[in-house]
Amino acid sequence: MSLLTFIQNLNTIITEIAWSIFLLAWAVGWALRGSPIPIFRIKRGGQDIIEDAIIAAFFLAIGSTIFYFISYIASQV
Amino acid sequence: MWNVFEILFYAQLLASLSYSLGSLFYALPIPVYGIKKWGPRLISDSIYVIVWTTIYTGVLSFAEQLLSLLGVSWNSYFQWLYQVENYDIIQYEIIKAMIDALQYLGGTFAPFMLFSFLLSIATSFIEFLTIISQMIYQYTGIFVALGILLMGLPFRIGRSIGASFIAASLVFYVGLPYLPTFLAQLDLNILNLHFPPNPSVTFLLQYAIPEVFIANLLMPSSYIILLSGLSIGLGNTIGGYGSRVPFIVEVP
Repeated sequence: MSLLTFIQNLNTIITEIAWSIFLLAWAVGWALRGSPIPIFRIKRGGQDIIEDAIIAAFFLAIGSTIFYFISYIASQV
Repeated sequence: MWNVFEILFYAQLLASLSYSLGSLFYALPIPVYGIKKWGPRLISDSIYVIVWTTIYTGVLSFAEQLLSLLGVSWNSYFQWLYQVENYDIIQYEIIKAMIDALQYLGGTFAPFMLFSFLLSIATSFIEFLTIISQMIYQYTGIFVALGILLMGLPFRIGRSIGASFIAASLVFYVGLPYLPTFLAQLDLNILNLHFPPNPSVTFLLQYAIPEVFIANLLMPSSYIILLSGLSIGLGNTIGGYGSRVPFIVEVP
C-alpha cells in the first residue's frame, strides 16, 4: 500500500466515522432534549449537541464535495 | 528528488484529512471544550492549507516580481560572489608571497599575517555564502511546497516549522541577491578596494584590515541576521495561531 492510498483510505474511513458520529450526536442530542428530566442545563446541552451536529454535517457535506472535486480536477490535469 | 506538484498533492490530501477530522470533532457529542475546540481549528487550518496550495505558483512569481522591482538578479549576484571570492584568493596569495619575502629580508610581517588570516576567513565565509545561496536558488520551490505539506499535517504538528520553511525560503530568495547593492550603497563593496603594489604596514592597519573585515565579514553577516529576523517575522505571520480564514468557524 502506497502512502497515497493509505492517506486516501484513512480519509474515507474518517469521513465515514464522522457521518456515524453525526448520527449518534443527532440521536443523543434529541434524546437529551426530549428527555423527561426537568433540568434545564441537560436539555440545553442536548440542543447544543444537535446544533453542533448540524453544523458538522454541513461542513462534511460541503467539504467532501469540494475536496472530491479538487482531487478529481487534479487527477484529470 | 520529489516533484513539487506531487508534494502539493500530498499537502492537499493531508488538508482534506484534517478537514474530515475537524468535522468529526465538531460532531462529537461530548460537551468538553478541550476536545471540541479542535473541530473549527482543524477545519480552518485545512482551508488555510488549501489556499496556500492554490496560490503556490502565484507566491513564487510574486517573489520573482519583487526581485525585478529591486533591480537585482541571481545571475549578477552569483557573478559578484565569484568575483569577491577570486579577489580574496588573489589578495591572499599576494600577501602570502610578501610574508615569505619579509621572512627572508627581515621586517615587520605580523600585520601581514593578520591580514592573510582575515582574508582566509573571508574566503571561507564567501564560499559558505555561495553554497547557501545555491541551495536557496535551486530549492526555493521545493522548500515552499514542503512548508505547505508540513502545515497540512493534522493537529498543527508541523505548522510553525512549515511556516518557517516558507518564510525563510521566500525572504532569502528575494533578499540575498540584494546583498551587493546593499554593500555598494554603504560604499563597502570589496571590489572597489584597490591595493598599492607594495602596501605599507600603516596602510594595512589603518585601511585594508578594517575595510576587509567590515565589507567581507561584518556587513554580510549583519545583512543575513537582518534577513533572518525578517523571515522569523514572516514565519509568525504565516503560521501564527488564530483563524486565518475570512469567516468565523467557532464552537458556540
